Amino acid sequence: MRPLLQVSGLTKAFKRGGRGVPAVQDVSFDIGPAETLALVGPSGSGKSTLARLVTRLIEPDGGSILFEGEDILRLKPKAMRAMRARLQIVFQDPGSAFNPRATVSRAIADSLKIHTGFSQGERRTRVRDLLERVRLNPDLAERSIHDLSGGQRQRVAIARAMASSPTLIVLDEAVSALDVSVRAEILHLLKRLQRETRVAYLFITHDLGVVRAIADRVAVLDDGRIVEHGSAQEIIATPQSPTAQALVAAVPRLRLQAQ
Amino acid sequence: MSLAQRISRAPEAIAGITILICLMLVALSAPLLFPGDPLAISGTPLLRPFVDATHWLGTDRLGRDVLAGVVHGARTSLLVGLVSAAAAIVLGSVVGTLAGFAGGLLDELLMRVTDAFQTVPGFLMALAFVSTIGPSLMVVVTAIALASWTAPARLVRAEVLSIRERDYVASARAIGMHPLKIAFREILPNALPPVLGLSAIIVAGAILTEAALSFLGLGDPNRVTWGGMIAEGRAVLRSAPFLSIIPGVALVLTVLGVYLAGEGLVEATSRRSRA
Amino acid sequence: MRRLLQLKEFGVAYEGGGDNSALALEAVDLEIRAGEKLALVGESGSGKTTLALALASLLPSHARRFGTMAWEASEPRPGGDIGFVFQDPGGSLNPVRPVGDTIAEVVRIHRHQDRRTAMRMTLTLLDQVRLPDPERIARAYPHQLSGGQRQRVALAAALAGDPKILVADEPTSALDTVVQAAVIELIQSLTTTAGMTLIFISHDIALVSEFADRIAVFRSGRLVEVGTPDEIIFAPGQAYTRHLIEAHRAVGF
Repeated sequence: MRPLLQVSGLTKAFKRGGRGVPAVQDVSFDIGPAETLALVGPSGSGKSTLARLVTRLIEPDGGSILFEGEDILRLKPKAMRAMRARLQIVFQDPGSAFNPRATVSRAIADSLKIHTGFSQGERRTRVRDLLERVRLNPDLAERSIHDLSGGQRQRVAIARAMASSPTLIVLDEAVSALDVSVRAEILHLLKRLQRETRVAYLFITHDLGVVRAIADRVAVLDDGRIVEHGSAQEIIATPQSPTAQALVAAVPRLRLQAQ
Repeated sequence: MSLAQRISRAPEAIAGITILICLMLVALSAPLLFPGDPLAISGTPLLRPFVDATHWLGTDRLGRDVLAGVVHGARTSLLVGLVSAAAAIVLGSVVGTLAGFAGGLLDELLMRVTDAFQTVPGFLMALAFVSTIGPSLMVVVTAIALASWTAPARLVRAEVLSIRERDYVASARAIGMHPLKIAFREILPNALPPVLGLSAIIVAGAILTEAALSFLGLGDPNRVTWGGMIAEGRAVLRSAPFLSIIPGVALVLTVLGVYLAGEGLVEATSRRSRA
Repeated sequence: MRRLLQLKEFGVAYEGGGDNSALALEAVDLEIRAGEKLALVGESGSGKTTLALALASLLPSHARRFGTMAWEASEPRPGGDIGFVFQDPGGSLNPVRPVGDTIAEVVRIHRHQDRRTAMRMTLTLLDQVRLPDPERIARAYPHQLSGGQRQRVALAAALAGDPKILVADEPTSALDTVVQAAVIELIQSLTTTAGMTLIFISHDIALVSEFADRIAVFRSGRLVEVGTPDEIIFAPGQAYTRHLIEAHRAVGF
């Protein structure tokens, strides 16, 4: 089966104080349709840079990104904007990921306006559908994003990402800012949406507990490089690299299970 | 709490807005209150104020009614002040947004143009502009706008630079929104509040610049202006100081009203963003 | 263990801008013992942070307290008798001062030391929170440090007044799991060594089960139940506690 996303040799350095500091170095991985790949690493390992590189919010210094067989780094701006319908991203902080003036319906309808030929009435119906699919009351549509809780906002962010029927969603620490109980609900929602739509996830996180709950495969990132790669079970049960071992050890455990 | 409620709690805002509303009512009803040409001779020259009921604030050297002049002058002052300030803010916002959002060469180019404008003192630029092209209302408005768009441009650019890096702008790019739409619909509205805070100063500055141009005889000669009235009165400053004082007081009141209202508005909106 | 504080029918309401005042905490009966490690657990909006702020006398001016909060000794002074670590380590440090100055100031105010001694004690504190090269860190500004380093500095500042009680409000929520584990271990060993009372606020029941003596579960401004980790996790008395534990099992180990 041809992979949905194929990243190879991706490299990016940021200029700091006149010299280039490497953030991502020669990173390669691929994701198949309806698959969840977790990219795990401590802070500063280059995870978030990678999330923005893959969605081409920043341009890499080298490497290639094949998405649905096309090299997206070569796409002209207009074609890239059209491509974004199928390549979406959800950010970590549900507080800052929305225009402070936006209402729920505007946040979601913007994407519909760009990628579909729907009339205003059709868009309104579709927004309500999407809200129902992420288990939010459709009557929230006209509320300001700021009136919602963190978990609700993250559901709106997922609805916005789903609006254009993507085949891949990059989730950049999408549940890290949420309470444990809300986190569990959102992960449950993501899994259900994946079953329904066969969307693939690139799940970026520092928390192996979350990885265990959602990922098929894991790539462990440290210092901008992939240091370990394997199935989620393998890596959690028998981590090989010191980075993976530290990440496994750091997951909070209920006291009784540890003893 | 609504914006109106918050404004109503700030006494300076109430005072400022009251002054401005009175001035606007006066300006709007000028043709009704004094239907004739305010520049026409209507009585004995140099009548003192409060002696003749038909010329309540007296007459000038040519026998023109001072009250009619002040009332019609309010039209010019407010019109020029508001229109040129609005033009300056719109121009500045567009330049600042484009420069901040596009970055690179366009930013460099626009900012050097801004520098060029900023190095010439605003009043001198307006003076040069009007004296070259000739005084008319449109020219005066353009001249003042050209002299005052740089401050909003810099302010908007600085705001845009910080907002550009926020997640919600990345989100807008990620759903494939057109860059111009991102700049003017997602970023600009959120960059405006500090500029609106500056608007009172720009409006007040525009009113004063207009008065100064008129004082130097570079106002629209077909309209009464407070600056022109003050200049007229200068010749008889010792014998009839009221001719300069009355339009001067009107000018002070207007600028004060604009400042107070602006101050109150900023206070009220910042209270909202804190809540 | 000696009792430190007794709360009876304790509550806090935030007065809104108009006639609406929201009850953030109500009818809390809780005893806090000297030297224990007490965890306050709940979701956002459960009132756990409000209680932490109330204990440290850090409630905002529009908050109204009712019920009783009876300290065994005199009410502790914030900064001196009671240290506070906030969730956002950047927010609690002055961005335009070297972090060493911030800590030294607390030492001078609460331990009545001169400038030079205060600076020496600051370096000791930075060493205690296991920051390498304290001299360099003391001269650094907050933005030059990583999130984990900033939280260690914030911890040093909280300890600078030599407090008997340390209140930590979600001190690791902004950190990654590896740094979180290290900071938790540090807080635990420092408070144990100094015999300090630790009040630790978290939304993660598993995290606190690793080190707390007692866990108090909060929901919607009320205390749901309180007990040792064994009691709470083995035999949760309330459905809500079971829900929190289930949530952890879904997203943890």
